[in-house]
Amino acid sequence: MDNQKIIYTPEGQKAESDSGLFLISRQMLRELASARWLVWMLFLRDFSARYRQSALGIVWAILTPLITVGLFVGMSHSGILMIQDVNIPYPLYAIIGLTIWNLFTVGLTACASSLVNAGSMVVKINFPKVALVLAASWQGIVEFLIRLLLIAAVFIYYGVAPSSGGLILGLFCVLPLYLFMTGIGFFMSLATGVMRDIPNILNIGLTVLMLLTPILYPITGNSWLARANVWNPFNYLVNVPRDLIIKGQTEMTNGFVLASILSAIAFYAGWKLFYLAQTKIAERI
Amino acid sequence: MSDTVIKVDGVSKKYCRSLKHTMLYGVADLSKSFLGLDQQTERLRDGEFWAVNDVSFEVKQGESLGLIGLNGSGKSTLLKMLNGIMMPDKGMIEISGRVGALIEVGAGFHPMLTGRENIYINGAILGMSKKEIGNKFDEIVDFAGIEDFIDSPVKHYSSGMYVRLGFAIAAHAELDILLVDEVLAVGDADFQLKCLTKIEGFRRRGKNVVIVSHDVLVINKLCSKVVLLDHGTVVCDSNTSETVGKYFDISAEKAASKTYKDIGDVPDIYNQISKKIYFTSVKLCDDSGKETEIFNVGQTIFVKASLTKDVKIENAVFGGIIYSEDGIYLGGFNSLSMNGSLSSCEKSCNIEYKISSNLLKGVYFLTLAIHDETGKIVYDYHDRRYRFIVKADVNSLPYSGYFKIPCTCQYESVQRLAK
Repeated sequence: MDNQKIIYTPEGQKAESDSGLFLISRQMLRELASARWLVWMLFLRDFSARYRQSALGIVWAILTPLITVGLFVGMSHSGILMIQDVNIPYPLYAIIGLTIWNLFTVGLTACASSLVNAGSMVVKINFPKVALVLAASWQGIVEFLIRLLLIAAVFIYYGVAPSSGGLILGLFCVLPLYLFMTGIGFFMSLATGVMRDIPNILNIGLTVLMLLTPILYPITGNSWLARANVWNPFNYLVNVPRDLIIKGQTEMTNGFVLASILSAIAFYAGWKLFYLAQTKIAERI
Repeated sequence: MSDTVIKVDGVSKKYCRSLKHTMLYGVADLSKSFLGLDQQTERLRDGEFWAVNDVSFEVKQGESLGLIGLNGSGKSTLLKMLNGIMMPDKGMIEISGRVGALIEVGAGFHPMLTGRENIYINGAILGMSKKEIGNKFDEIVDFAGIEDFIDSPVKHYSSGMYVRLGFAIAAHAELDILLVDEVLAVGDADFQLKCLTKIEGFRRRGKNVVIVSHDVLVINKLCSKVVLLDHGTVVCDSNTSETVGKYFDISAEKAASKTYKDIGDVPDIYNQISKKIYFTSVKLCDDSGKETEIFNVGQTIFVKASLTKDVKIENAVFGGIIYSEDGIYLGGFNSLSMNGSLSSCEKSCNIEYKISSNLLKGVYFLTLAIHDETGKIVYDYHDRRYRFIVKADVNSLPYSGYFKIPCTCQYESVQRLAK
């Protein structure tokens, strides 16, 4: 039983004994540790509520990428779009890329509206709000896992095998993308609390970003877009896991390491901002 | 360890009046707090006001505190700060022990999920552990009285069941300090009693309760100390009877500052109102004939009304209803059992009601009506348009219900019969 005295001041909440180095980081970790079960419960709530009253349920997670990839296959067959050779069947290339990318978009969209969707709760109950965003971010992971089944099916259909050693490493290398998504998700959930236009802006922004990044097609050569993509972290965060899964190796190691460091920074910065701002946002929702 | 459980020290909170400012300041505050800049929370910006202003009080171990005040006096804001949902803009709050709130029960329920699932999820949100919820599960279901519906989605629950379940979960958390905000206003009388008993039991175990309510009877029953807020500041911080008395003064003062003209016309719920006879003026007077809104306990209230008759109507009934300030129908009267008829009345006439009230201190509303003998045809209806105030008399307690109930006691000594 901790009978610790809690103190609320304009600067925020602290326990009486709180002092010393890295105080905020320690408080953040403590809050996270106390919220583990809550994150899990909120995740279960969102997950079961989402699929309970839909006829196709989790099939939707498979249907949407199939349609997108189908469109691109159709466009390339009819000559509207010239997609350069990718060495493996194009649909396989596109579905793996899109699945990894969707981890980012699905998770980010869920994070952005997580705080506002919980509006009445946020205003009325004191609980670690970080749990809302984390639970939402897991939705991206769940859809990613479901779509892995689709990828397996497409591998079998084309009679191609993934790289045996690269598969595990490739899946592991999705982690920086998850951290990046959650970091931005923390930020976006706050921004949506203040401005309700954010989810709409995100929808458009993510579509544009997908088309400008080599996800559904390689972008090479000396075009301005190819040169710009050298600086695009998503280029590395999506293509390195895909290269590893398909070929077991990648030429983008340096860029990937930098992008991963950036992701870790984004995660920490987003989390810290969220931690500092959560009481301020409660009165604005 | 000191025995002060809650210490509120010079706490202030500001609010914005407009949504535009809310957004603008929201962005500015967030950016500043992220960049670690001084937020200057102590200054008011354009369009802001202090919703809670320099409030200080203490609650000692085992005490239960009532927060009362008129609407908008800042009591709910204060409760949210005690709960840690919002931080004060000035001052400091210190709390020892686990705090839980019955602020709005059922917030966080997911309509698609079953009662069982929602108990676990809501419990987790309220900070209960899995084991704690598991242990209390049956108790919660039993308290809410929803055994038969525990596996149905809560969207199929009646609103009463919804609220009962929400309350049951919150009430079973292991807490040291319970914050209650007007939740007792919902649910039927049975459930309200159950809630009060639960809160009372909590209090008996030496825990602390902070209650925000308009209901003076609840405050009176549960609180050992009451803080009265008005426009965000503490007006009175004292024992229950003194603060509640002060609360009555404030609400009477506010009522007195309004005339019945402010209330305006009531929506036309009696659509058969024919206005064949209608009131042209109504005055409340005391026994000397002076127009007034303020009466003493036991003083006769004279209602002088003038009316105009457009067609020849022989028989009309004049009635009135008195409501309490919180909208309770206290009783009515009419002219059916009295003598006198309209036939003697020309186009316009005056009537006088003489109400020998035994109403106690409080604010009351009067409805006046003219209808036919069956009550089916309503000629004119002034719904709660007239307000009057009964002042405390020296002998009455500050809170003691609505009526003085005449009663005499007789003592009779019992003689033991010798065997």
